[in-house]
Amino acid sequence: MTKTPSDEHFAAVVMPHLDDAYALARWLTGNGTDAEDIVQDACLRALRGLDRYSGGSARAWLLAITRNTAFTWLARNRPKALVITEDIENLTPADGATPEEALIAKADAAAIERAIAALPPPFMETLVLRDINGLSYRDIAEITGVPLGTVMSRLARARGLLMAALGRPEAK
Amino acid sequence: MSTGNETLITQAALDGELDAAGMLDFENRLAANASLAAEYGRLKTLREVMRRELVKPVAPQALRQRIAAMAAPSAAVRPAAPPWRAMAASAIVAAGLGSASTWLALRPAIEDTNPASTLIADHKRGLLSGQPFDIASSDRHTIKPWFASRFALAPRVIDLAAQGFPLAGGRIDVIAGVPAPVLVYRHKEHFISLTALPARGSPSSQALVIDGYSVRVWRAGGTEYWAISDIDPAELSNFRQSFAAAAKAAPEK
Repeated sequence: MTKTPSDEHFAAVVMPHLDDAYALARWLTGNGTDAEDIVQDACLRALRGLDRYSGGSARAWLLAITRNTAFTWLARNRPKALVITEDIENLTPADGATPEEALIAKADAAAIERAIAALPPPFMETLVLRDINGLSYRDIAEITGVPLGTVMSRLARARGLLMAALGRPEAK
Repeated sequence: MSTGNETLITQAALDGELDAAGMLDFENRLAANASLAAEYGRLKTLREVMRRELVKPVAPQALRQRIAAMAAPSAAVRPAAPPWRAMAASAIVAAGLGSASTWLALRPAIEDTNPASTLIADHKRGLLSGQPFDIASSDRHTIKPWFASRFALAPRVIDLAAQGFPLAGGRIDVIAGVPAPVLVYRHKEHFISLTALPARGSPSSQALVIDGYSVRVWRAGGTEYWAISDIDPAELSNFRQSFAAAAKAAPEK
């Protein structure tokens, strides 16, 4: 690849946020090898699109590219993962007993990872951006291209589903 | 519909996304509504458990190297200002602050051993983007855990509202390739960025003015504090004294 004058700048904008990009891709794909491919592809796109970066949050910018790359990759390689029930925003969690706080408190890493992996992609992505990457609602809305209210309702749904999965009395 | 909204507000309260008035209102409803309190308790537990159990994936070294190689700086070519930088610079000119040194300060300074220029650039970037913080909260009990979940050693979070410097929020800057916590305080119409860095080298306490920004550096324990603002140097000294006095009055456990 030929080097352009913006290469130097690229390192300053992109490199500090590599872990964030990798973490998001890792969760969305569920494995490290695919995540590496996606992050590398996303960084290539970022390098090409560097002149469109307008100086806002570099982290949000890189994560938006990573997220789009990941969904393109998923659509090509795992189309089934993206098949979503009709009206996802109004999906109601399965009825049942109120989750028990004490059971949630005892959940281990494997159980939490299973529960997150089982979330529909839009919920999972919102949860990961918030609770793993630690982004603000505003940044998440910008990255995922949905209104703030949708970010909040997806987060509420994602957490509701996690609590139901981890705090269900017969679940262990 | 109101229950739906309540669910959303509960998330926002948990995530520190409510402003002070919203938080107050939420706390009142929390006190009066047992089932809301139980739901909030479960949400807090879920978050704690996730923090306890989940490790944030870290990009493998090999990937890091591949990407660094992809963008290795070509030292021979000094870059012309890329569009975003020109835009940022022109915004500053428009704000009446422009000078050749402004542009210099906006250059990425990742290998700069003196963090001043990076800190000033980050402070400016925060002002230009209209969002000088990643988390907006005047409540130190919201900001402290937010930092604690991101740093092995969370910074001292001291509210100086009584002294005229209310907390506005917190953000994370990257100084010399390493993330550093930044507290953002408000003073009248102005912002103060207070960055906590691990102390190194010999202790130095200085007051500087760089590119029209007041910079105050001091050290407390193992931490070097850098306060950056466009307020008067004397007022920034006041800020430093208030911070140091409050830190002394309430020693950290």
